[in-house]
Amino acid sequence: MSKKTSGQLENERRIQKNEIKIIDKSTCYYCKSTGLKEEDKYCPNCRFPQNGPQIEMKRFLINIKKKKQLLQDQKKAVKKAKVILFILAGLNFLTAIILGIIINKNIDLLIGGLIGGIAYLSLAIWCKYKPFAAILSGLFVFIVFTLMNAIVDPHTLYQGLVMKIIIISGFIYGYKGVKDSEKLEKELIALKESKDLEENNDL
Amino acid sequence: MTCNNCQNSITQNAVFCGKCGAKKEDSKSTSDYNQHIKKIAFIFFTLVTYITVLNLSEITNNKTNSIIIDVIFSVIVLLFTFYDRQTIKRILQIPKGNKKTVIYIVIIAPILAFLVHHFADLLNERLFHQMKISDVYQTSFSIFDFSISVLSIAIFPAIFEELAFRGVIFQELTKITNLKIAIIISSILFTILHFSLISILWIFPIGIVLGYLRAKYRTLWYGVLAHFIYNLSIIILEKL
Repeated sequence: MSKKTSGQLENERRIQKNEIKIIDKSTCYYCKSTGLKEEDKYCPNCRFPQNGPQIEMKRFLINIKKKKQLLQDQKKAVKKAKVILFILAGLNFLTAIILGIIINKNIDLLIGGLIGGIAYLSLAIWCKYKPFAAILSGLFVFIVFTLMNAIVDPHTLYQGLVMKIIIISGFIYGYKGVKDSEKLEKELIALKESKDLEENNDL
Repeated sequence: MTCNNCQNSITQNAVFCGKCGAKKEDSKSTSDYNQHIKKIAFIFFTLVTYITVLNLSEITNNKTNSIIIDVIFSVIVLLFTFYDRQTIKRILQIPKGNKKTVIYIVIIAPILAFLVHHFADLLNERLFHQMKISDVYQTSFSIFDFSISVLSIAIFPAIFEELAFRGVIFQELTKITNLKIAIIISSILFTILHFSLISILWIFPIGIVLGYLRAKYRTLWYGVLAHFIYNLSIIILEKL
């Protein structure tokens, strides 16, 4: 019998160390649900391949990790949309002060800027509690305000077009982020919730 | 219960089939959510586009044109209502004798109109140094002109704006969110569709009240009545 080299032994040790060992077949390794049947390949609560090959088990855990990363990215998109709302509020207040008081001394611009600023600021604050509603409303408000400016001066429609596209995209990504993150968060929580699967047996 | 994929028996509180890993059939479709949002956006932006085009096309603001504009707006709203007729039918039923609510509406709506009218006039005089809110509310004294104003400012908006915002859009919103949020979002959309920054100050709270009436009584008619009396009061106050 050929002797194993130290490298091979080290490799084996590493594989054994990373191996997922199922001690109790009736309890899920991932969600700790109890009452799993001997013939179940997957956990009926979280779909962990309890009786599957090692590679499939590891793939499951990697997928969970990926989903958690995705959740973080989606939450970042929501935060970005919130930042956009704050920026729009700031820009409106600045316009009101600079154009309405300092340069033009125009009361229309002052009042318009202040109302616009308050509207965006309220939505940005609301975004903390109800991100879906605030971002969706923010998108609609931004489009209508842009059109209102275009009615007064049609050239404003093309001014800062790239910026407008970035803002609208930010809102759309933010809105999608809210929707997907809510769903994913629920899914991840549900997967981690252990159940007694023996109860309410076959109906 | 059996798995739809492999016919293996599955327990009631299982989410997946233990044998093949297929997910248990879920009654709620995720694509429904997107469908509702798309529908709301489509209805709202159709109305926004119509109003934008009207504003850009420099149509003279005479009585005949305003009636034509209102009729086209009404047709657009009716088309959306017809598409959603099964769900709208329920909120179009005449409410059974809630006299107290009707009396409150008849008393509060003109008071609100009076307050808003004076507040808007005050803003116009003090800030913008103008005498009138807008040309829309300028009406002459003939019976014919008054009737046209009532039709164009009180009747059409009361019916069709309510049908659009507290009817179709509100109904879609309640399918994806709770009543409170539906009231707020429908009010925001109702406010910004008026294309006037200054009037956000009073249209948004009015939208909230109309949304509350719609949500509380599950009918459109109290909102229509309140909207009609409010707008009619504004016309009368402008003529005084």
